[in-house]
Formats: sequence, C-alpha cells, structure tokens
Amino acid sequence: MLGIADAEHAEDAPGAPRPVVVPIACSRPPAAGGAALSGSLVVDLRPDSRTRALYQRDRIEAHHFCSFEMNPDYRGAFERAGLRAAGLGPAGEVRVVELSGHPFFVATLFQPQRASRPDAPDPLVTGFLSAALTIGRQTP
Amino acid sequence: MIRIGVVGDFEPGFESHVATNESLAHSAAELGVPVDVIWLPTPSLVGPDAEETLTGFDGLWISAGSPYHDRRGAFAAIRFARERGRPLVAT
Repeated sequence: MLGIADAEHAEDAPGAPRPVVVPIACSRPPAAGGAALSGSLVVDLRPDSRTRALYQRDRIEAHHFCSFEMNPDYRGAFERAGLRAAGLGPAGEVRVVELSGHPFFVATLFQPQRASRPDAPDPLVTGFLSAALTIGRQTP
Repeated sequence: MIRIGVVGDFEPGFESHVATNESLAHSAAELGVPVDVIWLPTPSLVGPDAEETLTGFDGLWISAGSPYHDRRGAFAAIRFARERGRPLVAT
C-alpha cells in the first residue's frame, strides 16, 4: 500500500534496507533469551478512532505477546496512505492502526481476545463481529 | 450465520489461538447470532483459489502467531479485506 516493493519484516529479513516492521522498542526489559515480550500494554486511544468508540475509554490496558512493531520511520508514509495510528503507547509508539475509508479495518499489537469472558465479551471483538454481520459478504 | 475466517496456523497450545475462538463465541452470544469460525492456514491462501476462498467470509481475523508458515497467505488475506472493504481485525 506504500508502493515499497522491497518492504521487509525484520524477523524474516534482518538487515533489509527498508524494514517497515522492526523489533519492539519497549519500556519494559526484554525477556531472557530474546523471548517475545509478554504482559500488559497501556494504550491511549485517539478520540476519533473506532477503537475508542468501541471501548468507550481513553486508555486501555491489554495483554500483549509480541516482539515486533511498526518502524516509526514509516509512520508518516502509512498515515498519508490512510493507515492511521489509533492507539499509542506511553512514548508515542504505534499500538493500534485503523484504515481510513474502510468499514472496519483495525490492527492491534495487543490481544483483545485474551480479555474476553463469557459474561464480558471484548468490545473490539464484538465490534468486528457486528461489522461482519452488517457488511460482510454484501461487499462485492 | 456469520462466517469468520481466521487467517493463521492454528496451534492448540497457543493461548491466543484458543482465546480467539472463545472470544468470538462470547461476542456471538452477546449479539445473539450464530457464528461459524474457520481457521485458514496461511499456505492455503497462496494459490489462485485464495480469492474464491476469502470471498466466502463475512470477516477476516488475522491471527497472532509469528512467523506464519507462509506470510504470502496472510498478505493475500489482508489485501483482499483492504481492497474489498471486508471487515478485518488483526491481533
């Protein structure tokens, strides 16, 4: 979507010239042995984001298990292409992105499914399912 | 019946994979609608049939679990959802 033919993921191609996804930079110390960082992630949700509308909260704390994140050098290019940062970590790290002009396109670095309980389903999962119900296969 | 395709290589030992299925069941119960959840292994979305497969789903969930067995399959699903306006969540 950015027209970068050799865009790479640092896990698959360490040292590639244009890594759009890079090892996570976290305020937490990395786990021993280079294991994926796992734990709680604080995310501030942008006021006009879909994610904020679903959670009805400005800040959420969610479980994550992830070793990679968006390379901040490419954030501007992603924003210009419509992939907007919808949730940020304490140091401004991109934690949630949403695609503008799309009925429902949300990607998170955290795992909302881990917080879901039978009596308290996760709002983002419910929002996704609701969008699938109303839009779904009706799209061309 | 809502059909959700979960794009990823299911591992029963991965908590997040099990939680993906469970969370969809929780939310479906809340909405009062039946949901059919089908995992789509990434290598199965690489060939020319991928588009036809993906067309059959109301929403695509791009699963956790890195690296994928074939990331081209995950890319194909993400591109399909982006270009067709099909609901997508990636966690």
